[in-house]
Amino acid sequence: MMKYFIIQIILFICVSTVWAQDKKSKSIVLDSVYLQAELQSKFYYAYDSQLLDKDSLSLQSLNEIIKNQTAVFMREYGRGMLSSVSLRGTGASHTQVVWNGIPINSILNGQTDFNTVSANLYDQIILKKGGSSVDFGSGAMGGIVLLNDIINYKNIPETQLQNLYNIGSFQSVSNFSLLKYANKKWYFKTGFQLRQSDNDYPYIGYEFQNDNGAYTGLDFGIVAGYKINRFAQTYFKNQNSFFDRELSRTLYQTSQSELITRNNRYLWGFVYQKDQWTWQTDWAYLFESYQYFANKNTTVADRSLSDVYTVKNTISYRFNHNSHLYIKQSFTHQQGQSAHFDDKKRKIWAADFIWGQSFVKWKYDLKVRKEFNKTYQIPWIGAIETIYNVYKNWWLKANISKNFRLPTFNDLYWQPFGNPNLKPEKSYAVETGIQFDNDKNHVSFTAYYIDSQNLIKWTPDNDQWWSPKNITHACYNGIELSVQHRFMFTSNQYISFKINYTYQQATDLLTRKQIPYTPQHIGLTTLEYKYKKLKIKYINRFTGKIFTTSSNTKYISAVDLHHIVAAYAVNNHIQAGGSIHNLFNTYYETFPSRPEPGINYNLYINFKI
Amino acid sequence: MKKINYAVLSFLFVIGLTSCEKEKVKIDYAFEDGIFVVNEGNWGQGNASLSYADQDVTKVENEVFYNTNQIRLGDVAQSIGFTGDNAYIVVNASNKIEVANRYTMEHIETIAGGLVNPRYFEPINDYTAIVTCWGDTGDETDDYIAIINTGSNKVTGHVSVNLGPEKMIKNDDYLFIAHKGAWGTNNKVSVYDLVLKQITNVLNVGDRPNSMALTDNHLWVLCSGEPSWSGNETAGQLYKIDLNDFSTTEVYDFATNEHPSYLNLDGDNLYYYLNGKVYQMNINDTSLPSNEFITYQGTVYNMETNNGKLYITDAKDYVQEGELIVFDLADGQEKSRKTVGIIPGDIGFNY
Repeated sequence: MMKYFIIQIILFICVSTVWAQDKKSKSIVLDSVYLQAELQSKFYYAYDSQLLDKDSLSLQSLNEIIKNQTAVFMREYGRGMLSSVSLRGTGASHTQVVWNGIPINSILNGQTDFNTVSANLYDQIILKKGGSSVDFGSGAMGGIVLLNDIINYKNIPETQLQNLYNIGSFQSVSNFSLLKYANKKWYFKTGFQLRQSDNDYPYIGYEFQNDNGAYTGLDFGIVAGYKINRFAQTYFKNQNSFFDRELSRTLYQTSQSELITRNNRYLWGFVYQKDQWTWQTDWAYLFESYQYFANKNTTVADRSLSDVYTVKNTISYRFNHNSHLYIKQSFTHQQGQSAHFDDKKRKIWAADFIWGQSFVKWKYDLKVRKEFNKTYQIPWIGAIETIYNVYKNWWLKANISKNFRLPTFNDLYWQPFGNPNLKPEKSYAVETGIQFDNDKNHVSFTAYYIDSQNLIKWTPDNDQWWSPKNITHACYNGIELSVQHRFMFTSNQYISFKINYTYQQATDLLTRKQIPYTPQHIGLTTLEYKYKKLKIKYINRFTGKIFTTSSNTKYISAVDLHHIVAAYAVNNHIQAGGSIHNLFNTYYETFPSRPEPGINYNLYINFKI
Repeated sequence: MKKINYAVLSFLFVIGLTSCEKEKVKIDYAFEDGIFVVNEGNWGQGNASLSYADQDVTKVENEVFYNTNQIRLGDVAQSIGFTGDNAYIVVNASNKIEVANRYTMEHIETIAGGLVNPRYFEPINDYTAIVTCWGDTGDETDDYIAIINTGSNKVTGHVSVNLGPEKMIKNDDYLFIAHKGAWGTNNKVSVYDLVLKQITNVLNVGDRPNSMALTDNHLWVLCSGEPSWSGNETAGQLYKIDLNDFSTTEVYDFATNEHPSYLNLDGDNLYYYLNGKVYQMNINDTSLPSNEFITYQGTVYNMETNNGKLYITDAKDYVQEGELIVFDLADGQEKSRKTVGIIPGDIGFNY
């Protein structure tokens, strides 16, 4: 019953696509987090996806979490500065970030800044590589990052209080407080986080420091769920963030600029489920604003803001134990304005059909989506996803999808260079992989190929004025390898190691060169030792050279970074830990002339009742 | 036999020595007789660089400032100027000027204080130079020219000017400053009196004056006009201004959608660039030329003439190394092209 219930919750929250056919009985004995993880990976069974670990309490932002747990390249303009993810070599706006089923990338610039997203607030963070437009619409060409709040009713009322206090180098302080309450009918969660740092780290090998990089971030969230009866439940989710930061200088340019980002997100939903029928409705409102001060000492700011309203309805029917049909419909109204364009609006209506079947040894899903908009011709998109149990714990996965991205408001309307005649970008992706899992081992190997056309690029015209055009045709191909093994010595002592390696080629088909700012090799090795209440983790991250010119003549050198993270559980309520980042004080950057910090420390203490 | 061998060997050795010595002498004055190309680099990336080529562009050496000094030039190198034995490389986004020996490129010092968005450098006498500065680009009223003492290499004063001072040209009495308008737009030429040391006149010209040339009695100012995206497109114009009273002698109008740039003078001919074509116009002509002199397809980022040659810098896609191309003005034929740095712009003739 419990298991079934969790399945139900996750389905509703994550806008899943497949009915979990959890045939493994062992899941029942696992704790709920593990179970959810397992199920979640089943929804994206045909893709290379990963549940990110939130146990590393010294890691604060989504950027840090991804960097330390995956072999995925994060672009960053210095610590705490603008940061974006590059999945499979694609651009910053080709990864859609999805908050409780609602895509939240800015409609103004198409991206989410991963340093502004505080990881502590969410119950679950999933990184899924591969085309996902058919599930989440525009932008999800390289993959998606899911931020989920999970509603978990408890038969025995339960209250949980948590306070996590962090202190670190460069006058960095953060405090996160969480309150959770659950009973049979109600679920309530609220979290509050403050992050602050002077962030004035010295530049290794230079006489000056990151002297305009201070930041303050405030995050606040509420999740509430109410079970109306056996069949129906309703929920409300809200997340707010305010991030005020100075924008770092470079090695050769001082800076006095400052950026204030504000986000408010609201979601109300209702789910009704009876027998084979499920109906879910979600109503969301997203607000974002940016205030950019070229000179922080003045009040002159470039301001832009946007509002997005979404209504989404899903009806699903489960025909029998092995097939299901989903029909989804959504309507989105986007509205944005900035110092560079007046109020602009865009309305999008979307319809999805999903048909899937599961058998003993294999399952598949067929998905089709069509979006309608007055201005653009948005192509039909779709996906075929399948998994096959080859032998024992060996699974063969494959998927093929068509994806797209709409031009952003900045691309379209920026005065005077925006181009209102832009078309949507489109891409085709194919992926295949093999995966092995048992108690102590995990092996996965994935190969993919993406062909993207009409990519929007800002290019200069004859008079050196830059404007966006649908001109780039690129292909992305590569392999992803992951190997994990755990040596159990005793029941409370083990060593586990994990190796992730990514090889990615991002080729501009016009020049046949690697697209700049995309490394070809990324490796992540972690070694974890646990003894009773102590856990020590060693992390090594390798990033290959990053070309900075389209002719591939100049590059940022490859870099090898080492980190140590330790945690000690004093008792059931108190956990303390710390981390040392960049152990060997290595100079590195992910963007030219924007140094990242050398060796730095973090300590935390976590109370939990 | 052996003896001869030794003789030959020692002879070769001597030759070797002398040539080595010659090489050495040449290295001392490595940059004596050619042209410098200032490669802007990408904004924010600090990858500006300096290239050096011989006048015929048969050989190019890139990164000459870095190779000589092991110092990066900085962020967005805008231009280069010379006075005495020194070269002054204006680095816009780094708000500084790097001073180096013009013949050896050895770094002398950095002028850092008092420069906000510096653009171009022009010496006005043996010990003074003027640098146009935009100030804060968000403020349209703080633009100025910085006075630099080239003996102490310090900014010793500044004079407020109209919005967006850019290129300068001087004769014996005056320094003319074209106000292209920085990130806004302007239509002025300031006249700085070299004796009175102040701005004595502000001349009205066409929109966005981008380059100038001087003949015996006239100042020629090429204005690109407002581009189409401004929503207020105006025609390019070539102003011919009388140097005696600063009155406008003649205005040559282009079509409304024509926005010329890079005016240069070589001998009695003016050259400018428009829509992939280079035009040649005699200073005594009474109308704009109707036929092009040279056709060039590429991303022209600067064009300059000198000594019977025309040089074009091509920035390509702005995210890779550009090219320097030389044409012979006698026949308009391309003679050579070589790869230089990222976004090659200003050219300095070091002879």
